[in-house]
Amino acid sequence: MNWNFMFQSMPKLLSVLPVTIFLSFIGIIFGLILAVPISIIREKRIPILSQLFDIYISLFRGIPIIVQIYIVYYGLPRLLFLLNQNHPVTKGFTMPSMIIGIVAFALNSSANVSEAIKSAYHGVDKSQYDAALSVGLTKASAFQKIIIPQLIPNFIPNFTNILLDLIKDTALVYNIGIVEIMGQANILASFSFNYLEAYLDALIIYLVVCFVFANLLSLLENKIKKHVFA
Amino acid sequence: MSLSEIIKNLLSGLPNTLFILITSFIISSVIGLLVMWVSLQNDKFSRVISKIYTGLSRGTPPLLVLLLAYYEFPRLLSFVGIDANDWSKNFFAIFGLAIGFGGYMGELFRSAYNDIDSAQFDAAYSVGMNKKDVLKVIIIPQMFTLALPNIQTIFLSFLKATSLVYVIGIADMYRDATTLANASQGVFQLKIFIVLGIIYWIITLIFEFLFGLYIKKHNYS
Repeated sequence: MNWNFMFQSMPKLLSVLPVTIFLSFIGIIFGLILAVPISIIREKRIPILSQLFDIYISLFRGIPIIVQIYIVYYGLPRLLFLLNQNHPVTKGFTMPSMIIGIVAFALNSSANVSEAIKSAYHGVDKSQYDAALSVGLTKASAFQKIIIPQLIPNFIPNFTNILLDLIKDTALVYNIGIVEIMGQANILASFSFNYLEAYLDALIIYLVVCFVFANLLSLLENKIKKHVFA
Repeated sequence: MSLSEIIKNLLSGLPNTLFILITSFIISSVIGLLVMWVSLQNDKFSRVISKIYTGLSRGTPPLLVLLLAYYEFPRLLSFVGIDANDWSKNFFAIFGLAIGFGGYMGELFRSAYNDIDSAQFDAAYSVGMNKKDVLKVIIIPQMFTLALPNIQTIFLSFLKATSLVYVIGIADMYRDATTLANASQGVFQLKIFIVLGIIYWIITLIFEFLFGLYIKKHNYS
């Protein structure tokens, strides 16, 4: 055990922490943006589209994320090339790994978030909606004032799990050449074979990050709950 | 490279994937039950221990756990005089996955246990059953029922996590795919990985179907 190395490599690992945070946050934000319309389509049971999204969700939840990352890594540039074959920019165009990582995480988290929205929505008592309509609220305002405020605190615990899973999954993107915590740990360790020290550093960082976000979100949940149910 | 060739190549890793999946899942369940048992003790110390372990297992990427299990666990064992250098890689993969998911399993069982009405204990005691019988006949079957949907979710995460054992050099489906992609100089990469994804998806669907069948048969909901 080389304590000296462990202390020295900690700041070097922390210097790439923003990459991990950035990737998981942008991933989950785009995932959320995608998930809302998907959930609406599935809840409204719009024919064809809702079946398609059922398959979409089942696919993205059934395939390991590393395989998804590679499919995007190899597939996205080719898809863009096919879509725009004659454009000069797409010729010999290599995509930045960061964009590939973000696309893969956004697609993956959109499926998970959509499921979380679904379960949060079903967790709200349906009769409240009818009650709101019976006292003369319009459908839109019943939804906005009664359903959504209750849906959000229901949604946060699952959302937290998805975010934490995503943060942990960012450990895989060093495969496509993004230097985040795991990649940096591998690089630092490979100079002098101090794998244990580098990995333990990485482990500490992941633990702290996950702990902080879990607590922040549960704080937020309590705050919203107080605000809604007070 | 033809499609059937790719499928044949990838499926050769399937038995290993399934073996790791099932054994690590079983061991992880045992760890989970142990964690639950420790967390239900009355003294503060064991509760803290179980909390720390749960936090550790939920806060670390499975990839990291696998790497640590493979590269550092033998070193730890050598301190107590056990030579683990010749042990199979599968052992470390299974061990790493089981430890990495043990916290999730513990939480799962604990929430199922907490959902059981405690009056059932009293009722069972009042008819003269001892604690062991109560657990065996009344509590554990109900816990299993309550936990089944979550067990399904975790089982499927296990399936997906088994794709990570490539980091320690085990020939599972994922590693077969990368080897195959490299062997063809990267010409068929996209095709190979799409096929791999579909295989994983089909396995997921099969297990979902089996779980659904079991739940339906026993009329759980």
